[in-house]
Amino acid sequence: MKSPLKIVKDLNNQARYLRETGDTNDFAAARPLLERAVAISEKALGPEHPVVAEGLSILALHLEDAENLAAARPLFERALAIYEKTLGPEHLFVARTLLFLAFHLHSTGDAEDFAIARSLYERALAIYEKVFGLEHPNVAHSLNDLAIYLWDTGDAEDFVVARTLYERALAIIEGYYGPASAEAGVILYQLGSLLGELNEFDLAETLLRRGLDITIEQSGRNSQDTLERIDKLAEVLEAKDNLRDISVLRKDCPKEPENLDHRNQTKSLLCKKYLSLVK
Amino acid sequence: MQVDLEKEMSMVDSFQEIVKLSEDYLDGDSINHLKKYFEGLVVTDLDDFYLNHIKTGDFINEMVLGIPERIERLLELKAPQVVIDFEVAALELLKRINSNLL
Repeated sequence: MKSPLKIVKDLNNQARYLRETGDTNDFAAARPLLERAVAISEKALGPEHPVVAEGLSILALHLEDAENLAAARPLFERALAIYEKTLGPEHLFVARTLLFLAFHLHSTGDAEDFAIARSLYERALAIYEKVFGLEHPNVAHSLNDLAIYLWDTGDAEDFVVARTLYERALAIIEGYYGPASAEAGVILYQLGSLLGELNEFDLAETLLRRGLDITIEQSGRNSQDTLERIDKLAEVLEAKDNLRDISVLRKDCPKEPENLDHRNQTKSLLCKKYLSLVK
Repeated sequence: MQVDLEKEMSMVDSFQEIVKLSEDYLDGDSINHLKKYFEGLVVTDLDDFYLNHIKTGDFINEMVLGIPERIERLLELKAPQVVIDFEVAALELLKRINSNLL
């Protein structure tokens, strides 16, 4: 006879298989399997065991993917409470679940939830700093998460805080992965974009140009990422009322934009617009 | 350090057992590297760390076999060299522990 944990594992694996390989019906069929797995682990190990928390997290992430948002939140909250109680408030599993819940509240919540999300992001960051040290890339990613949140939901004061967080993240990433790494390119784009919002156009331009060079090197001239970065740089240059510099973009725009797929055409139209300005 | 390699336990507990075991065979920096490696896995991987139970001896073997595949995937994803180096160093340390156990 199979042990309860073996049954739970099999149910999770079946659900994972349905999620990854099946159609919409299979995706929906994964939910009762995950719910049964949680119920069995609760019965076998008690309601406050890390295995139960693991199951609740998986189920919550599934419900989030299925856009059943109201049902996901209490599951994340229960998983967090179990981890805090069984592993202590500064454990990596607590940090991971804090981030799950923070992303959830950030993307689905109201103003009240946003305030809670911020404290969760901050707690996760503090745990990562303590476990990994201040210069670790996991800390940089956590700084980045909080900066994105502040920029997305905050006011001018929060934007200034977001800037310092991005700057710290960039310094860590450059030190760890190198100043020309793809990871540095992403943060240069984010920080440059934020500086554009803060009307610090010169510095924004410098960072966006650096980020653009990295993106072209990493993913080519006609990639979606490159086009997005060209667009952002053009916005900043336009804001500087410095149209002459837009000519620099010319070499980075697709040569035959009409041959690009539909998704890229919107961006390529922007390039054409800037090319026409130059002409 | 006395570690029962045949006892089944959760992956999280097994990580701790391997760190304990490494104290017999590795220097301080290497032990710290392994510890950081396991902590990193917990953050980046969405595995059933508490649900999956395994014998520590088998787990070391699984990782020695699994890390090269992981490195291949990272290379396909064009992961930074420092990330690859981190995996390679962990693999070498686990191999060193394993060779001492034989």
